[in-house]
Amino acid sequence: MQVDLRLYKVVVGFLFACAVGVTAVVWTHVPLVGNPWPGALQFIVLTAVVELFAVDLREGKCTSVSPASPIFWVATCVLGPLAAVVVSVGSAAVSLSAKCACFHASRAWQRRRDRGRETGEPVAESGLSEAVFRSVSNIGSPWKVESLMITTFYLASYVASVVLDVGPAGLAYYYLGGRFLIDPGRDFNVLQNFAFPFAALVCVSGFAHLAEYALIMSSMDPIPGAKGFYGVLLRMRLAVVETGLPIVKGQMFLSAVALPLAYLYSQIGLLGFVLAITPVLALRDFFSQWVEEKTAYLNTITTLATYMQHYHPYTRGHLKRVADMSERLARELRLPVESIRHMNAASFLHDIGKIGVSEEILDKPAQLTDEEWDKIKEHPVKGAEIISHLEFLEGMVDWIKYHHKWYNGSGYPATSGDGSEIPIEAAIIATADAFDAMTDDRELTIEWKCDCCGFQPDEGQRPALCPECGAEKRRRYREPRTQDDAIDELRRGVGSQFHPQVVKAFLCMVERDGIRLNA
Amino acid sequence: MHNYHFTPGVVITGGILLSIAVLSVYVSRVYLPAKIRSAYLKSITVLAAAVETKDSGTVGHAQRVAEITVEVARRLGVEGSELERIQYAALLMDMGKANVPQALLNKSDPLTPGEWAILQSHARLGAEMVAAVPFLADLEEIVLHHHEFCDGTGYPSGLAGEQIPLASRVLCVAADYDAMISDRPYHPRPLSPQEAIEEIRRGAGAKYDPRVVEVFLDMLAAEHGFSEEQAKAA
Repeated sequence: MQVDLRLYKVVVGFLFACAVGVTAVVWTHVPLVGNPWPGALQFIVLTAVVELFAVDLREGKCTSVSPASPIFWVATCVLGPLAAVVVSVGSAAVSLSAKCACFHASRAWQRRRDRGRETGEPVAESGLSEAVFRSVSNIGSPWKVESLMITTFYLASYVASVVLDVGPAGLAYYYLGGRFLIDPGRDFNVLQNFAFPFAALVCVSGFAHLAEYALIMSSMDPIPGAKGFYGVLLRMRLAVVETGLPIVKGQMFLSAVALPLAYLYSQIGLLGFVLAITPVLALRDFFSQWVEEKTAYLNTITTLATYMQHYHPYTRGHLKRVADMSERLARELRLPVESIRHMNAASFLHDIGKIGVSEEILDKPAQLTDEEWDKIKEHPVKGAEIISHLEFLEGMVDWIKYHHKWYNGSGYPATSGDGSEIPIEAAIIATADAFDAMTDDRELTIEWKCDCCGFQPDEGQRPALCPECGAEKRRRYREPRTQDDAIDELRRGVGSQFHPQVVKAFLCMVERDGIRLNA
Repeated sequence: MHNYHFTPGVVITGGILLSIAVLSVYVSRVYLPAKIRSAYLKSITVLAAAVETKDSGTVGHAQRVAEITVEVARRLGVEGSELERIQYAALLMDMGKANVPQALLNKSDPLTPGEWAILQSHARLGAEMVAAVPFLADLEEIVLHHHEFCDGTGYPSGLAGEQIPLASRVLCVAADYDAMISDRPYHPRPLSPQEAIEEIRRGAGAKYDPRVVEVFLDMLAAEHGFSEEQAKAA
């Protein structure tokens, strides 16, 4: 992620000033009700605990609403906005320093264990200490110390964002007639004095979050071709469009957490807090468990499947490049998260159907007969058949089935459709596959090795016949094309072989980031 | 506000929240692991079956071998998760054949020494494959040695007797038995179960671990009603 540092500093400074201003208004304008401070202390400790065990489920985007937001809302409507601001800043400080401490502790622990291993000294490693170590290192995260300056601004933006999530929302709650549940006073009407202002609080908090996010994003990830003020606006718009909906969804989910929390806390205090937060933590645990298990499963299946196609030494490199490219294309095309996540596995599996096609046909240097060609043409359907039996991958059956189908409906397998049945994911795999096959330097990148006896000559030699057993070297490939030629080929195929949207995204992406990300 | 008001509303809300918590803990700790386990089993079976399509006549081989192996291992006193690992190993043992040319697998003429070496490499290839997957890495040894014989004449390492992992010794017997009674390009006709049993019995002590063979024959007798006499008569 690229950051325009000057703009970033201005934005953070502005946000911080806003946060200070809001706090001042809250302090001077909203009267304190009862004594909120013991409650505030409880909230700080408990929120910090919740934050520590929070699981990061974001897909590399900073869009999720903090799991602590419902707690801050509850703090607002139970204790009052000033206490809520104190709670938000206090818990941020506590959880950040705890995370930092955990990070350093786990690093020290790791170092001690490594040292123990080197010297052969037995290190007591019971299951319990292993579990504690795991959880400590999971919790730990370093402060992003690149320079003191950046760290300062990072912390300032963090504090500003938590205050701005709470402060304005608290003011809205107060001015719309909300009463603080710590001491609701006489004639407390649930609808007028709680429900309606609470809805406003949720809305304002969501809006504030969106605005902050748009401002921060305006300094990140410059869009090529859009410079200056226009570029900044464009980025803000993108941030709003991309995150608007998830935030609305998130707010709705979080208010479902906040309402019982507010109710139980105001009725039975601390016990209510624990009661209301337990299911949230349990659900988060469930989701993280689910994601982790599924990732491990997907990795297992893709690795096995990749090795199954390992007969050609080049296949692995090819599959890896196709997978990287497909995943990037899926991101570029803003496909749903689930598609992006499965793109990698699908790319590794797309040729799995070739397992049933004999190597003599696949490797045949000469022209294929019709019969042999028919055999090769079966591989997408065979692959889809295999995939359809694999658990959790049902969604990608059609991606595999149609990865040799052209945009205009030709290609194989023969179907009655006009090409509209091809999912865009199949088109992505087809494009990435074709591009890599065109530019792949196959013959040069593999070691020369006899297919029959495994004989390897001195480096650089590529005899046509094996000097050892006299077997003919079977694999020959056409000369690879240059990348520009291959790109031209893609352009020529737009609308016939290739999906126009995919090629457009491909060209955009390649122009911006290059063919390979780390190149 | 800290006097506890356990009104019906509070009790009901608290009850609902607690049951959500309990339910989600149940799902993530009991239901999910079971579901994932069955997913692994199913998917590995499917991938093994995909490799089998290369090798004519072996479709269903891995699954049958897995059934026999698990049963024999159970009778030998292997339990619980260890049994499950053996099942995976049995399913995966011939995965290495994915990287052996199809023409070689289906060749009915005798193989040249070079070809024989390539065919034998499937044990090593399969072990490499398994080792590359963290979830299956502990099966490497079992897969690698599933063609070792008790007298040290097997491949790839020529291990003998107790050096061979127990699971591999069981796999060897189960795989050979199933191969004998199935259609294979390298033998003119499949043996009858009785003939195969006799063949296995002859190999006990030389090729196969006698204890494994004994348990294996007991199992067949119990499951299929082949009595000792019948087997002897064959």
